[in-house]
Amino acid sequence: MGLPLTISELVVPGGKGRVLLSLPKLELPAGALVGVRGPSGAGKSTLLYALAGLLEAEGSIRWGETELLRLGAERRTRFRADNIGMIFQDFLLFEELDAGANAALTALFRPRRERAAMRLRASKRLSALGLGDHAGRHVSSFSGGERQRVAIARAMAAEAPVLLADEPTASLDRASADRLIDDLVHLARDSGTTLIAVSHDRHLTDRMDRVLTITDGALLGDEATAA
Amino acid sequence: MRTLLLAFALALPLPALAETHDHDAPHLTEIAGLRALHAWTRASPGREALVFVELENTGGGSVLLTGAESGIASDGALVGFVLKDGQPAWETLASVPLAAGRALHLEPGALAIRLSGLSRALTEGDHFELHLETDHGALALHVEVAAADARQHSHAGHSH
Amino acid sequence: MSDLWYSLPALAQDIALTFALLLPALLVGALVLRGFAPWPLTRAILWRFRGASVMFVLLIAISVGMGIGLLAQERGLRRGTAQAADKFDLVVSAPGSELSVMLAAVFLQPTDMPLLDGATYDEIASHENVSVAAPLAFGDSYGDAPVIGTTAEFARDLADDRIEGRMWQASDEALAGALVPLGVGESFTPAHGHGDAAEGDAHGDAHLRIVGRMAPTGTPWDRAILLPVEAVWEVHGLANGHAPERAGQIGPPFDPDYFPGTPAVVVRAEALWANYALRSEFTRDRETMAFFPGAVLAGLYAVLGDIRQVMSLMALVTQGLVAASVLLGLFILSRLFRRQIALLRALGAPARFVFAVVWSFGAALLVAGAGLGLLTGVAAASVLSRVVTARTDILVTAPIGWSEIHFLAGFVSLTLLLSLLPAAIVLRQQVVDGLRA
Repeated sequence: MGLPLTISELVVPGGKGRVLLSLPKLELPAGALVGVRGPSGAGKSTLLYALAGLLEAEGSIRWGETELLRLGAERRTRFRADNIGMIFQDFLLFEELDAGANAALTALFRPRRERAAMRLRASKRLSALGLGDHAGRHVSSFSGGERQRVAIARAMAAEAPVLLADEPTASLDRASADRLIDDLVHLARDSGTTLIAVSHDRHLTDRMDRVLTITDGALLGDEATAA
Repeated sequence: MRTLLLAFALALPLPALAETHDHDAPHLTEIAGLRALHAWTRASPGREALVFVELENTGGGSVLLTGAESGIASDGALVGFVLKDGQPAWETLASVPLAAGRALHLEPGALAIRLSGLSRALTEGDHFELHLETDHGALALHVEVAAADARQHSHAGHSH
Repeated sequence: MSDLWYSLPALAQDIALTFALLLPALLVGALVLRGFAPWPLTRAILWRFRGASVMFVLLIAISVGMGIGLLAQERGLRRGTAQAADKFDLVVSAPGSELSVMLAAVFLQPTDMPLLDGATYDEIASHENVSVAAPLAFGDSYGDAPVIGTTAEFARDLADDRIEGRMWQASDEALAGALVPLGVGESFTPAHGHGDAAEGDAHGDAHLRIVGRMAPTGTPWDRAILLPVEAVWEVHGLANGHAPERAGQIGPPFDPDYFPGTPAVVVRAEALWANYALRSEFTRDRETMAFFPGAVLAGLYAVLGDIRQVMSLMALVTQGLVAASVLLGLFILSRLFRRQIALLRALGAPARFVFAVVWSFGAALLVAGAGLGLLTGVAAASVLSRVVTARTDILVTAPIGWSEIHFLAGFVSLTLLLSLLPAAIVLRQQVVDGLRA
């Protein structure tokens, strides 16, 4: 199951007194699918990284019962490993490894007893994403769509209740992007995962429950979609 | 009575003379014609020391050297230098005879008395007692500790 | 504790020391890697930077190999020269430089030496403690081969009694060393002197015949021609060491009145102690000098020992510098996989895992370099040995010994500890900056 998110009085400073993002209040229920849009440099990625606990900020980011900003660096990392899967625009795969190894990457720093189960889940995710027969192929021979599927399998291998995606379709052609959106939405809904996706792609944001609009570091719009 | 007094008077300053000549111990010792001159060793922080000395048998018969002991070492032995596989080594000699009228130089690269299990480190300028065991009894040696890289006794060449 | 240490056999001490030297590296490795499996990523990074990785490994291997090769070679040379002096327990000659006499007698390097007379030789030979007193008469040559007059007993001893053919029985017969280009049955005329200065026709009417060949000894004597000392004296028109009524005798005893002199006498005593007594006895100002070639060599080794220490230090510094540049290179490389590092952090990898990946990358290069360096060292030492053996006729073998293993273990340990540094620096990089890079 996903985690609910409660944000209050969040301020992400940008150094020299600047404020990158300011979010007085936001609440998302567990399992919500949320799109984030807005112009480049408006603070969308900053929001995503702050939600992942990768940025120092003031205020409160609460995932379920966990007050993220109160955790120390290593506890936050631990929380991320257990609860948050991340997907990036340019996939960030290890080109030298095959698809299976990339999908099961996080097993490498898991306790030995969890590794086998993790690899199994990763390979199931790959199969669910239509790459079951290609787990042994090096990802350098994959198309963009296939790569992003491997990245999704990697993000979901730990059965993280939260999925954060940063422009997941921006590097894909239209057809691949649409197929990927289908898969991502289905997987998230089937597993009840909370999905927050920063995207310019209307095909993606239209499939979300809600769409937030961020401009100049502030939340300007919060609308439910028809879907 | 006069002669006795005279002898007494003459005898008195003798130890004092010996002292002024040489710190606290004589260089030359003797037993049954076996004379030992200039016993020395090298300063060392370790557990082993090699003692070198010039021996001369001035007596009428042969003397058999059988070993050594010292209060500062748990063990003493006569050893001879050998080169084994290019590594210098010292082999224990059970006994070494010294014929009448002959000299024997215990010196680096040849013969030595090896003291092992030293109870203290030896520093330059130190002195200690050592007994060279022979079939005619033990000969006391007063060993002087020379520099760690010394090749010979500081008075070598003098004859006392 | 130290008693326990001294009571251990040498092999156990060597193994224990190697382990102790490696221990810091093993401990650090265990601490850094505990609970993680960074190797697939390490392999991936090695593969991505394979060109640079190969260069680094080669650099380390060459610097380590040269250090090890030189150290092994130095010990091999010591062993070879000591082995060449093995048969020369005690040498008695006229007073002079022990080193020159040793070079002449043991290593057959020609030098002008005053002679010991018959009375002195007789005193040595008839001493109660002496079992062998072999005169060595050098100065003549045939081609590149020094021609040495001595006794049959000493020749047999040199060859360990392995003589193909037979021992000489007359003063016109000779034995060839294993490398002398003369076969059994061939004749030759020795020249007076050596090399360019040799006077080829000085001994014009002397014809000697090779009757036997000595087994290889791994010493310069393999190039020598040995003959009865009587032959050398006769060739020079001197008395042959025996009174006229026994003129045909070959070998000792010699008659002091007909003994023309010998530059050196090799002396052997039955008992070990007697060698030392003889040395004391024949060390006489202005008359004779007695010395152990082994002790002279040991003195040389002591000087070489200092050089060895300087060499070890230089090798260590060189390797340290190479390792440092490799680690610097590593750090520069780590900037190139900054995004991957940031990704790992974003995916929830603990700092120690990222540290483990970067460290194991460096460790893999260092360990591979050290391992390859060991092989390079073995190869370098064996090539050097062959060159030295060919040039000096002293059989030098330079197998890798424990001191090289210790050297290597220390190097590995030190550099593995040093490579914690770039790993630590990589950790200080900002994750989000890395992701956006």
